[in-house]
Formats: sequence, C-alpha cells, structure tokens
Amino acid sequence: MANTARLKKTRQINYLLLLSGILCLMYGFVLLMRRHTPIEVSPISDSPQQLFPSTISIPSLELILPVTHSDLRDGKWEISDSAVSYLSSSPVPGTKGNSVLYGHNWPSLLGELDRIKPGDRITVSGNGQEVNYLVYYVTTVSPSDVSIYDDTTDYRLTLYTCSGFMDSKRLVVTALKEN
Amino acid sequence: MRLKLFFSSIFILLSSSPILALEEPRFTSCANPSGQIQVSWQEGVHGIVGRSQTYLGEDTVYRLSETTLTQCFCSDEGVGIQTDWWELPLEGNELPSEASGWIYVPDGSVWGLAETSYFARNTDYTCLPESQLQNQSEILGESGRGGEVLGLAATGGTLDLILIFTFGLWLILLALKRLVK
Repeated sequence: MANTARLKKTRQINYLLLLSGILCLMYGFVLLMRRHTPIEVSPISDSPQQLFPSTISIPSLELILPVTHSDLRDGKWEISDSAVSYLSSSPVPGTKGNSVLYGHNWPSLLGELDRIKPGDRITVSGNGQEVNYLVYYVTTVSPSDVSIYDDTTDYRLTLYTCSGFMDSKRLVVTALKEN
Repeated sequence: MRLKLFFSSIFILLSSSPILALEEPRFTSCANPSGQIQVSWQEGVHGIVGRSQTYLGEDTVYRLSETTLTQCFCSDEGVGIQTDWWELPLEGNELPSEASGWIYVPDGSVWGLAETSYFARNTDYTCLPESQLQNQSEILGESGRGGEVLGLAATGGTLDLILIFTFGLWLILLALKRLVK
C-alpha cells in the first residue's frame, strides 16, 4: 500500500519535472521569436506631441527602427525589447554634445550593426525634425569602457550594442553631424 | 551521473570569469579619447609597434596619466589602430602577459616616448579619415558622465537564452530518465 502511494508520488514528480522542462523550452522559443520578429515603425507624423527622436534609420543596412526614451535608474540602464533606446540624459540629437543611443543586438533591432562602415549615414527623426550623421568610427570596447558616452564639444551620435563571444564586448558606432 | 557532470561543467564554464593577476590601467577608446594631446600628425608615413608594415595616415597621441598614453591612428584607407602605451619598468613589477595582447618595448624613445620600457597593445577599428569629414570636431574629453555607471548596458541576453534552453532540456532528460527506470 505504502509502496503504491510512493510510486504514485514519484510518478507525479516526474511528470511535473517533464512539464517544467517543456514550459522552459517554450519560454525560450518565445524569447527567440521575439528577437527575430521585425518591428513595425509607426508612420512619421508631424504632430508636435511626438517626441524627438522617435525613429532611427540606417539606409546602408536597410534599417528603420523606433526610438524610445530611456535613462539610468539607480545606476542601471533602462532598455527596451522593441525599440532602440535614446539615453535621455544625453544631449538631444542635433545639439552640441554626445547623443547616446543603444539597443539589443537581436536580428529585430541592432543585430546587423556590425555591417555598418565609416562613411555610412544615420538619420534620427521625429516631431517633424530630421538630423543626419556620418559614421566616422566603428570599434569594439569592453563593457567597462564608459568613456564612449562622455560628453564632447562636437555634434556626435554614439550608437552601441553587444558583440563578441557571449556578448562580452560592446560594438560602438560613432558618427558626426552632417552640415 | 554523467549527465549531471556534463550540465554542471557547462554551468561552471559559462559563469566563470578569468582571474587577472595584474590590474591593468584604464585606457579610453579612440572613439572618444580623453587626456591632453601629446603630439598629432595630420598626414605622413607611420609605423605601428608590433606591425611590420607602414601606413599612410593621421596619428594623434593622448597623454592619459603619468604612465599611460593612447595613440589613435587612422590610415587614408580607413584602417584604424589604437595603441595603448603603458610605462612599466621590468624590475619589481608584475608584468602583463603576451596572451592578453601586450607587446614589450624595451625603449620607448624609438617611438617618440620616454627612454624607458613600455608595454603596448593594439586594437583594430575602422575609421573615416578626418580629411573626409565635412566638419572638423574638437573632442572635449575632460568632463564626462563616466563616473556615474560602472559599465555599459548589457544589450544581448545570449547567456540568458542558453541557460533557459539548457535548464529546460536538463529537466526533460531528468524526468524521462526517472520515468524509464
């Protein structure tokens, strides 16, 4: 009797383990699909309510992505799963200083950024405005190299994402505003 | 048992980090260099430490601290090389390893630096020569926001994905093994 009850309990645990494993895999596939699903950018509107920037485009990579405003909270970077993040404590793109944008290296976001080359154009737009930048520097740094987002006296855009084995590095694209 | 050992090894491999015996100084990236400009050439033929070929292009050296400099070179073809220079006498010091990319330079004066030993390390990047830029920019580099955070945002999540799949597979295999018994 006791043996039967024990056997039944063991079988229940085994089925629970099996179910947990399957749910884990399903969750993993959901995350994987989200990384690969193209993101639709809302039509650019002239409404004054729209924040700037709201879109970033890189024609050489055939990339047009939405931009969301993010910031540092308690020393941690806010990051979006469905947009490129503009660090709102950095200068507004088009104004003097180093405007910082960053995003996941997923295929649906900045996964293709490693194909960008010096001389390529980056455009940030929104709220009826448009600012063009020319890429002049593409490099890889360690995550602890925070100097890449130090302020500057020129008009620049710094765009970065993860790179390297197990995302151990950061791919940094630096661009200067075109006249 | 073998299965447990396998997954434990994967976990240890993914979570371990190399132990560095020597603390290296911080060098800023040529993407946004800081420090005083020590010397700058807008054009000319340049040699790079550790490289046999010479390059045509522009070169600027920044003094970061008493013992460190960063050299930012950009060739006319858009080949960029950042050389980090670390003044470190051999005697009485732990030395950086060749495995981490450091090259020993017995006499820095050959490269226009002080007459002492240095360690140098090169990092490649791609660049647009300044002569092709429409606007000339002045890099500030003296003030910054760097002190507020310890690192750049993690924008990957590859490790998370691998761990989720590994854990899920492990649970399934464990359950199947127990059911088959």
